Amino acid sequence: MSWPVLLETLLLGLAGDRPGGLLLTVLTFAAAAAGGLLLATIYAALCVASPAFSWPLMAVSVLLRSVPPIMLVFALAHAPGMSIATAGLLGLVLYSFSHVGETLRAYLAAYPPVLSDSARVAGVHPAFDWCVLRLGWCLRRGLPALATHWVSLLKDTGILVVIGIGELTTTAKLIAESSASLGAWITVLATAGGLYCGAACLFLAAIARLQHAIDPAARAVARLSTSSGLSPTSCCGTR
Amino acid sequence: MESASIILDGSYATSVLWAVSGTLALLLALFLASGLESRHASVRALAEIVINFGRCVPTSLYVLAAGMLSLRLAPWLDGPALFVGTLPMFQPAALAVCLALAFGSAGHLAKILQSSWRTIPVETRDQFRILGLGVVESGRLAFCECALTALPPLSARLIHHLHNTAFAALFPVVDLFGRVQAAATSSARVVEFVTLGTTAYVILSFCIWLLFRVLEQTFSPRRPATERTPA
Repeated sequence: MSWPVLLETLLLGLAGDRPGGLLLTVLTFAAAAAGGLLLATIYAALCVASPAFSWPLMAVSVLLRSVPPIMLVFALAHAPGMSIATAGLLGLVLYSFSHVGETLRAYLAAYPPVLSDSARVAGVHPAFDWCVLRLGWCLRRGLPALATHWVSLLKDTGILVVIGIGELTTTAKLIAESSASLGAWITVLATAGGLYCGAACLFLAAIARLQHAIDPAARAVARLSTSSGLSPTSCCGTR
Repeated sequence: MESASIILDGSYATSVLWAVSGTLALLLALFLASGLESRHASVRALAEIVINFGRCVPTSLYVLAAGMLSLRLAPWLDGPALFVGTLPMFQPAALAVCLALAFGSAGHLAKILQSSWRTIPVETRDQFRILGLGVVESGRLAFCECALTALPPLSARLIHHLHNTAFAALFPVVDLFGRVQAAATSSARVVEFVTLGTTAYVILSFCIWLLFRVLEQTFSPRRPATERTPA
């Protein structure tokens, strides 16, 4: 297979089965990350707002986290009435939720009491307080920890290979298996690895820009550390 | 009885692999996270590059590379037989797999630690310095301050790390996934062994979660008695 055809197939999927390849990987990743974040937000808010409910909720979350994601997707694909695509996406959403939920729970629990007291005294509506102030604080503070899970999720979309969804790993596997020589096999897998790495690096660059945009302290850190050679430790944390 | 023995042996080997590689990953993560907070821009940039390199390349590739390298170097390597059940000639491969697993997780753990460290108010960090506390005491206080935000994501990531130990099955290194795979193939009792293997992973993951939950309860900052609801 020539380089342009190989790249086109790995990026867009096999002809007649598009979207596939990296494009489907990115779409699946975005949907799973968004679904996982939504469920995780509800989970974290319930755990923090109502400690009585937190233990059974945490037990469910840890059970989902304990099952290897490949087994989760495989089991869902064999559930009655579940299509392969739904099973794959649902498996990734549940996997993402089980990890992001713990991070958000931790950061929501650490929300400074002084800020919640200020919001109460200022007469801020509880819905605004939770949805905008607390969640915004958690997302700003926990963004590096959340992003590191999302990088994992991007690579872990490869587990969809077990149910034959044509994302990047599946496409690479199909092309590699049809290659006659070991050299071609290594080239296909190395190119797929490079595409995963490139996508993850682009995602991290986007996250760094997002953090810079939403977090005033991050801007201050960048400004101070470049102008005065200070460590980020000495100029960060007053957010 | 035979299945129980296979699962128990595999679980023990996986636990050792997880504990050794997880400890190495945490130590490397602490080192990298401190690099991210360095005063020198070059050190911060280097730490960021190492972390991103560790995070963006699939762990399976590191394990493959390290395992194959160790098999080539095996005749010249000699060390303690840390990994029970693995043949002495494959102990270097087991150690290499361990190091690769540690490197694959260290970047993620470092970012979790950095994120948690940055939630500590700058005044609190200044107090560590102004009070002239030693390294151990400062570390203990920093750990207590970070515990609430660091431990839950660390626990989740280390459960993911437990699942990553299954990559050891790419080489003749004894672990739970490899034992289950071999037993299922040789006995053709696939459903039985897959169920037992998954149950073993769930139990091991629950143990990790419970350990971190206890640590979280122990080290999280307590509210002052005056803020508590009277009984």
